[in-house]
Order: sequence, then structure tokens, then C-alpha cells
Amino acid sequence: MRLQLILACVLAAPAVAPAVAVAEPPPDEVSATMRVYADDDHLTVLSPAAHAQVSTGRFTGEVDAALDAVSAASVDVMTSASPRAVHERRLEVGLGGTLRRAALAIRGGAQVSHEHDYDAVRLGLGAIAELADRNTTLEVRARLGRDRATDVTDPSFAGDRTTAGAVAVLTQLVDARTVADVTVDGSWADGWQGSPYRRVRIADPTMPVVTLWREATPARRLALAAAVRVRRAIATSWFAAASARGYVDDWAVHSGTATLELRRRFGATLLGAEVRGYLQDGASFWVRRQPDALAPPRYRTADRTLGPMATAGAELIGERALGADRVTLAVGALRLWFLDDAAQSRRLAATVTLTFAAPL
Amino acid sequence: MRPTLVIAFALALGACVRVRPHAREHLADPAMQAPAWPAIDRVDTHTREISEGSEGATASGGGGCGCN
Repeated sequence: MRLQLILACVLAAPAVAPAVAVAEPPPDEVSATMRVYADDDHLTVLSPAAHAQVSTGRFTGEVDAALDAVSAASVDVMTSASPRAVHERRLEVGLGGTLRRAALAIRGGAQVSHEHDYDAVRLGLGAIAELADRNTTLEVRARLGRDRATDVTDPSFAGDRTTAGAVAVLTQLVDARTVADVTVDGSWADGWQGSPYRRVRIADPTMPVVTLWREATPARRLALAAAVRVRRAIATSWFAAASARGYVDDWAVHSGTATLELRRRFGATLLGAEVRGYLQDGASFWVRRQPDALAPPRYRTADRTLGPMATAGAELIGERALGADRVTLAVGALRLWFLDDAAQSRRLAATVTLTFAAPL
Repeated sequence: MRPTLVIAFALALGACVRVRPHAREHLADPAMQAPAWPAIDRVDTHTREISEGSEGATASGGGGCGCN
């Protein structure tokens, strides 16, 4: 069930990878990726993935498969660690297609994922148009999803959620060295949005009794995010990018993100470094500790990612061309701060990602 | 509202710019793509959205670069 949160990322990602140009199909290619994530909360995730794309005429087909194998010390590491070890696996499969006609491309795709207590389906449809002699690119896409969460400890529980969203991306050449992107992303979710495993502790003020309640969040969540990004070739073989992003939703979560990237080409090798900062305040119903009460509050959660928090990350990436093949290695570090007043805590995570891509 | 106007104004200025195809040598470099490493970006986004309370408009995608 921890992977329920992981599934949220599917919403943000199009069913088909972003294009770099509309008119020309990408090269036929197959790639394999292995990501290892480990943090000081005893969570380890191994994520092997494979991707293939083949073009014929004006059509490009893509297929993806990914696995998340999670080992953790608790049912939900975002709440608290416990001595009980947990092992979970999630399998995701995706299919996508792009049809090109002159400066227009229509894209669609579908993804399904399964784990023993969570299933999800995502559908995506979008269009990309190149305008103004290919100085401007406009992409719009829509997505629809359906999730079902179950609880292995309570067979009577099932939580369904329906999601929908739309994204628009405007890309503009500013000069011969600079590109700017503006992204606006709106999303809507309705249904079960908690974890059936997380429990909220509430004490009875009249008796020495503490009861554990299932999470309860508002059924609906409307969110709007917008980002601006600038990419620039700053010197021979040197490239830089910077972005700023803002987010707001009707749970009163607000967040801001800033990133800075630098890349340097050395012949067949491309090296990159990225730093990123993120700051968030908490949802309106989030409190670190529920007050003692005879009855639980209407909305309650133990999800610390809905509280005030900050993250900072850095990643070094190197890519080397080996003939027609490419090998990419990325090493990253991520620091999280949970900023709830009385119980501030930190977490440190490391990631290593290896990718191999070869032409078909 | 003011940042939106600034962005719209900047894009409107940009729309007046015409970068000719022969002048797009720098823009065509794979290092200028967004993202430069889609597979890495995908798993990074994955990790961040587990760890943080918001999602969407990650600025990692993009309609294109008009570069070839």
C-alpha cells in the first residue's frame, strides 16, 4: 500500500514520453533502467524498467514495463518505522502511440499497474503542434485514471478513486541559444485518498484509552500547478537550465520548487549536475498530533507529506556514447525535513540509476 | 496575477523572434532537451512524488524545441 503514493506519479507523467520534435519520429530504440533507492528510514526500493519504441511511417509505438520491489521496516514509512519488515512489489505496463502529420502529432497511451492491495489504470491523450516556423511548440494533453485500494488486514475495505487532469505546455525559442517553457497543469481527484494502513491516534479525555482511527481526508482534491523553465547554451559545450514551479490545491497545500541544472559536453560524454529545492506548507486538516477528544475529527491523517516540509536534492549524471549505444549513470542525494513544530525530523536518501539504450 | 503578465509578456516578445533553422545548432544539442535524460527524469519524478505532498507541472516535460 505504500506504493499507493508511488502511483501518484503516474498522474503527472504522460502515458508517452515527451517529444523533442514533432515532425520526425524518434529513432527505434530499446532501453533498460535500474534504480536503487535507499534511505535512513530503512526503506529500499529496487526499480528495474524497460522501454522500447519503434516507428513505421508516421506512427511510433512505445511499450514500457516497470517493477518496484520495496523493502521497508514499517507498513508506512512516512508514519513511523516498526520492527516488522515489509516487502511489496508493484508491476506497471504501458502502451503508447504517436501519429505524426506535418507539424502536428497526436499521442495516446494507457498504463495499468498492479500490486497485491492496489490497482490502477491510466489513460492519456494529447496533441503537439509546431507553430511559427517551429519557433513555438504547443502541447496539450488530458489524462483519466481509476484506482482501487484494498486492505489485506480488512477484506471488507475497498477505496476507489477517479482522477482527471489536463496539461498545457508552451515552448518558445527566445534566441539561437535560449528556449523557454511554460507549463500549466490542473488536476481533479475524487474518492479515497488516504492509506487504509495508516492510523490516527486519538485519546479519550475521560478515560485512559487511545483509539486508532482510519484516515479520513476530503473526497475531492482540486490542484493547479504552473512552472516556468529556461534552457540556454551558455558557451561552447556548456548548457544551463533553471526552473520555478508553484502549486496550490483546495486542501490548502501550497508549495514552491526551484531547480538549477548545468551540463558539459566532452566529445562522446555528457556530464550534468542538478540541484533542487522544495518548500511546502501543510494541508488545512493536517496536525501533527490530534487533540484528545470523545470523537475523531471529520478529517484526519497521519501522512507527514501533507504537513509542512522541505526537501533539497542534488544529482550528478554522466552519459557516454559507446558507438550507437548509450550508457547513463546518475547518483543522487535527497534530504527531507518535516517542519512540524514540536517534532522536526530529517531523512536522508541516496539514489543510483543506471540506464543502457541501444538502437533496434 | 503579476507574474502571469510578466510571463505572457516575455512569451509575446519571444514570439516576435524568428530563429532560422540554420541558426539552431546549439538548440539541437541533446543537452538542450527537456529532459536531457528522460529515463532518469522519470524515476526522479517518481521519487519526489512519493516524498512530497504535491505533484504536476514538474517542468521536466515540454512540447519540444523546434530544433531540427
